[in-house]
Amino acid sequence: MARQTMILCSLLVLLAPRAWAREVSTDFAPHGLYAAIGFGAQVYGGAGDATKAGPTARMELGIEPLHKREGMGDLLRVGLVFQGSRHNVMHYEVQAEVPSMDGPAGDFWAGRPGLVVSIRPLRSSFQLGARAELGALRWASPFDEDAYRLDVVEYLGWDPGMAGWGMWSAVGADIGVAVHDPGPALQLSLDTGFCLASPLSGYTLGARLGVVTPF
Amino acid sequence: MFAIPIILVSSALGGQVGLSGGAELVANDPFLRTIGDHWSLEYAPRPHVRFGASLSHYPDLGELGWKPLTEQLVNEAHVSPDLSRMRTQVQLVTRIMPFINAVGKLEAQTGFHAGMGLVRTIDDLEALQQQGDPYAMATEKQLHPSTVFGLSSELGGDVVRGRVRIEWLSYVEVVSSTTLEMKNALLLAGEVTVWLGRR
Repeated sequence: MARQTMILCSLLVLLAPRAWAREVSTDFAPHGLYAAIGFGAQVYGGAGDATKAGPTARMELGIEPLHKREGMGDLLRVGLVFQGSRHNVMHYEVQAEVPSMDGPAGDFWAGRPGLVVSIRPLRSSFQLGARAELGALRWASPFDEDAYRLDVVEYLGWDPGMAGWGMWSAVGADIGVAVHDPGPALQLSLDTGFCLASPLSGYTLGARLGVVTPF
Repeated sequence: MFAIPIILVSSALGGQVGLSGGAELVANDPFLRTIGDHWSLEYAPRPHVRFGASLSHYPDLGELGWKPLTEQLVNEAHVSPDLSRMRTQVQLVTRIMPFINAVGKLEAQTGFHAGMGLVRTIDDLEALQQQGDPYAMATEKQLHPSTVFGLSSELGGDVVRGRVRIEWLSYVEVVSSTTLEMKNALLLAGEVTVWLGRR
């Protein structure tokens, strides 16, 4: 495994931009749309101590409504966002021993479709922006339903549920470094918010690395 | 047939459509060898932005797919790890390739991708020694939501390009109805893409 990973990483490095490679005339002229992707970690504080932060992936697609006004291009962005995460939780028999057990029983996934509005007042090769988000939240554990009723609920003594819907909101900051100006930028995103989806209800924290680009 | 409407849309909107095929393997599973084929269809409105759908299929290799550790556990210690085979995955992926350079007459592009999809798993009930167990049979075949993110590099011309990918796929699987396991599969892949349309 380590050898295969090393070979592939070497190939990626070889194909990555190199000092000896000549620049290609790249047209990044945008059409007033943007896309962003990111990956990192997501925390649902309401899920309790038995739950770990989960790996998360996120996609964003939207418009730059001020695009046609000179110099305003990517100042404001409005888009659709979809974020998914997986969370590792103690086995339900171990969870049952935790005195203040809350959150879902066992591992679960969470998906968050929503709307995002971002503003980037500071734009140069270093970029700084703020973001607000609102959307729906769906979470679920993949237990077999009959076995869950017979074994898990019986063992826990209460029913945290196998799945649920709710909503979430968040505000955050984006710190970016332009790869091409104007054009794609590498971006670190941090956010905090609140979700309302029993038994996950509580604060949320997210941190992601990614890339954003107009197109 | 699936490609035709997308090719028509790309003709109307501009951009390129790419068809890819290749092979991929799971590099970090200590129990099973998982190797399969990968197919994808991508739309690139701009050279550095792609939206795509992909399908991967991993054939059931039976006991040939067991790694030495699994053979020892099953045949010598008569215990089994939770053998759940990933058989198919479909993903919707956004790929942003901001690093573009020319290497000789060829062009190299490197970037990131992220996506969401579904993974289909089938449990190896024989290895689990749970044939006939209703709990094991209830979750033998399952579909799981998944997320993927990774890094990819391409090298080639305007029409044909080779691509290598390294990516992390995560999902939660269930074995015997109540044993949940979070999987983080490290996938390594190589593929060839044919691009249609004007850049």
